[in-house]
Amino acid sequence: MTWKKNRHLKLSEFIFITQFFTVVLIIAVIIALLDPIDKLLVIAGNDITDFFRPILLFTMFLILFVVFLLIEKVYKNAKYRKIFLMKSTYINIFIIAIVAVIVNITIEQKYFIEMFFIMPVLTISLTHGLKLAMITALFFSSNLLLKNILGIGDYSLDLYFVIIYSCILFLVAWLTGSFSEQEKETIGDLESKVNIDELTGLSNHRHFHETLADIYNNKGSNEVCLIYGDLDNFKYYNDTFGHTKGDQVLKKVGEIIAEETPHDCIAARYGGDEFTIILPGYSVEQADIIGNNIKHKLKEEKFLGEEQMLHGEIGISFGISSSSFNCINSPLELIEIADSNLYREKGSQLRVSN
Amino acid sequence: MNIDIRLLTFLFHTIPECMACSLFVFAYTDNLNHWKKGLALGFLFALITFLMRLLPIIQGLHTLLLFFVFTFLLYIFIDIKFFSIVKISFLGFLIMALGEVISFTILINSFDLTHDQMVNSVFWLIILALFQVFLFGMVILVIIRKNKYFFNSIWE
Repeated sequence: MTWKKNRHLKLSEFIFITQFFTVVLIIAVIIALLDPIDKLLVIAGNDITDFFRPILLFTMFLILFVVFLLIEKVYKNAKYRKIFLMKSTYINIFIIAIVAVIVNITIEQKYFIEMFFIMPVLTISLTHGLKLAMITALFFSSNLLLKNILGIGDYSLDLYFVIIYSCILFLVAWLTGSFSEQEKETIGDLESKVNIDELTGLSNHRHFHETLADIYNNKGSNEVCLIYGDLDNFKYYNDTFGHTKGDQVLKKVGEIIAEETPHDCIAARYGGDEFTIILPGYSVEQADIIGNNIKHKLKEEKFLGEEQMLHGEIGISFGISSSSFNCINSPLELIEIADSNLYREKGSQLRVSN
Repeated sequence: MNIDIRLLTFLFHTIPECMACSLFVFAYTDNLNHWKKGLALGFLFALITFLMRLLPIIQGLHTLLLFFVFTFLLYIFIDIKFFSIVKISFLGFLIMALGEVISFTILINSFDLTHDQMVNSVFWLIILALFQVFLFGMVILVIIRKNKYFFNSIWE
């Protein structure tokens, strides 16, 4: 899903860069605490003092720029990006710990580095939502309050500062956390509306195609099977008992297919009375078993008035295709072969009944 | 530095410098037709710079923080990839820093000044700002002339 992927990528880029900035600030504070500039000036002599600051500034940005380019190169590699996204929680915990340590060892208020607390709160609220952001804000606020009560350092932190700053932390956590959760909820709602077929509760045609393309393109050496099903005698049922009753049949069939489909597979309503099941990592034999189970369950199910139908009861026919077939080179061919196998089966059934 | 000097510095040093830097970014991202937006961004950035300099934070961190602020402002104002925005603001700050290195070297050697004398005098700060604006102007001119080569070959 392109828009979802784009959004995810944009958000992860934003979080990544915020974390990069936090790390850079932490390093800058450590350097400032060690105060190497004065030591360097003593070594180099006072002649260079006047030129030192602008040159230092330029060098600092140059180094940061090069580091950023290198990091970007690593991040843009899909493999490393995946690791970064998976380990996002650990990275956040690491940043929280480092920020807490730095702020606590910097005992003088004049450095004003308590403002760093806002960075982890911001990233946590974006990645993990409101609850964890509030916990992080609470952790940092109690840290400041403890510092104030215990009076660590040359002089304790101003209580007003602690209260105002804690309020800011909670406000940031609440605002960004709520916004992030609200966005997640809205996206979830939209996703279900866009991807789910309302009548059957299965995936719809659009979602089926997207998922199949996605699974097929990332299958590697794994086999991907596709079951393509079509209801038998449904047209006659619909014509005889009306579309409302027909809808009830479709709903029931959807329920049966959803029950029989393994959790790692995707069942979809292809359109009308046609259903599909994508089975990643399954063999043709396994797909056949799943198809037969659905057939049996549907046979056991009695629909209102179907015994009166001249053409026979409602059933389902399946056609199966697999990516291991030599003739299949694309997701579209997978559908085509399953479809032609389905009509072959339908044809054989017709011959038997004739 | 008292508040009068700070205000004069803000008006004649910070605002022109920030506006020039912001226009440079707009030129680089092929958005120079929105130059009014660029000037507004420059003014906003100058205002934040002025306020940020008043913060009693650890020496040397102001510039880093300003860089981050500038990046986020660009993210709001310009609709391009975040990574590209960071790179472009890096470039803007690199040019600014390079401008300072060159102007400090020239002025200190020519007029026998010290660093502290320069940063505490409004006159020299205006001269510095003029030099920065000139430098950014030159870079913008080169970008306008060779837009395709610059924009496409390095970033895209």
